[in-house]
Amino acid sequence: MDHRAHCDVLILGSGMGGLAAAALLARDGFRVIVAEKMPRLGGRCSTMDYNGFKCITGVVGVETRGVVQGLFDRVGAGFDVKEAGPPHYLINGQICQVPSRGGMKHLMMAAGAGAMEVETVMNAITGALQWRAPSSDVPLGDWLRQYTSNPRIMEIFQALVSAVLFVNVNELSVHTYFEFLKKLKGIQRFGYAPGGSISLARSLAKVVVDHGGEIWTRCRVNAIKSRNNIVRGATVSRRGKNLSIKAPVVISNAGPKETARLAETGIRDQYYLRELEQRMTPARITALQFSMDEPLFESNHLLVTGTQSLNSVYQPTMVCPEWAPDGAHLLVAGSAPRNSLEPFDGKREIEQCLADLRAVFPGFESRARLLLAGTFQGAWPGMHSLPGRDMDRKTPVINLYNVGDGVKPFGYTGLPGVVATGIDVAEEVMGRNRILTGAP
Amino acid sequence: MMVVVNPLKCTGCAFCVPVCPNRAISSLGLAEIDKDRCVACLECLDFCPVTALGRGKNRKEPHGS
Repeated sequence: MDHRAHCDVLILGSGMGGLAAAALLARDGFRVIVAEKMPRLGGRCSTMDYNGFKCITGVVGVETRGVVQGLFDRVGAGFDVKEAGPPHYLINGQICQVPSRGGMKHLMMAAGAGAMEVETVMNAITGALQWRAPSSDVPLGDWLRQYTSNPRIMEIFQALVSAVLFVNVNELSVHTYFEFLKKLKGIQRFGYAPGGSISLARSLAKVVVDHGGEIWTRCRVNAIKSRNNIVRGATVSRRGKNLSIKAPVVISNAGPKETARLAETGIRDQYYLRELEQRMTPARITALQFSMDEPLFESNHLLVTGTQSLNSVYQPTMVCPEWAPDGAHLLVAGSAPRNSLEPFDGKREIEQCLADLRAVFPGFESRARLLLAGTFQGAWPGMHSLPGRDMDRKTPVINLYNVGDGVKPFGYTGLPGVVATGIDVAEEVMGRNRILTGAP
Repeated sequence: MMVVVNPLKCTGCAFCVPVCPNRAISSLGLAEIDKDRCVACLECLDFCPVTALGRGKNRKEPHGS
């Protein structure tokens, strides 16, 4: 081993879960090192400059006035996000605005549902939200079909859960869906960061550095080290050298399976490894980014119903023109397969998403030029686990934690879920340290 | 020498596409290297989240993997 380093908490990966934990711990006086394998920060909440566009690496819109902004306020990080109006829905070829109150009712009416039918569904939803949560093992689709047989109503729910929870109505448990509505209120407010999503990662990284922490990019982790089932640090490669970093606490943002692989020799619990294989199901999504001369429609975010795989279209440049060169617009189309478990064929998914775009927007092909086509699956998925199938944030190795979208709290999704894992683990580490040191 | 893609590891995220100074990479579900354009500067290797890019002579498999 060429070199040695040490710190109080070693964080593997500069995704938003890792950076959230790093910012909180650095501010609390812990000496933190964040090891990021890529040259840029943020992981799937980052920005790629391409042909003058701020292309996304995953996150497009950011929830505002919620968990994410709360964390930024708490650590004193700048939260530069420009709020956007509510999403619109594309139903039967018509763009429908969603009123701030009674949105679901309005959408069902737009889908052509009768007043009685809407009333029946709304009563069931009210009961599930305010009285008794429905059984956990029933898919949302089956639960809804008790109250409506209208396929267009089903398509509204499908578009929402596919775009936001990365799962289909026939796969998501009704319990998880209502927990999501309660916890995140369906993500009511969101916006875009004018500097690109990477500016959020940089803002948290600045807090880390300002409080004495270090962020090492182009630093690949080779192995997580432990002895007697207690974590001891990690070995990494940086600037062509191998380095041993000693740390009494290691927080991994690499995804639970990769964490287990890196800590392989330390994890003796075969049942944990089996649970990783059986429980965790990665969310597979496709994101196509296009250059446009003018917007395709008059909204920054459209949830699309009735398509094969396309579920949402973003036009962030309607809110943040900074994301494109002067006079141009960026369009991001998101899709997910209708079956989350069958084999994923990236090329086919891209073709399906393109076919949906052409079917939904007449003249799409002549107006949009493809910049980037990304598929997120396998070891680099949309989320490491579908909602409701997350792993525990603690691993079998003492003081080795996971953060990120494979260990989200129940009912959480996307960026708020990821940030919540960072907060949870940082608070656990701070709390345990106070017990050990006797600090108040 | 050129950069090669390990198709068993590549997830199709296309992170490598914008970072290539010679526009040698395209991706539609799987990264592909244009061997006439790749000058093996290896910049893309650091941007691959799943270590699917490597240096090699063979178009199919990275050297030594």
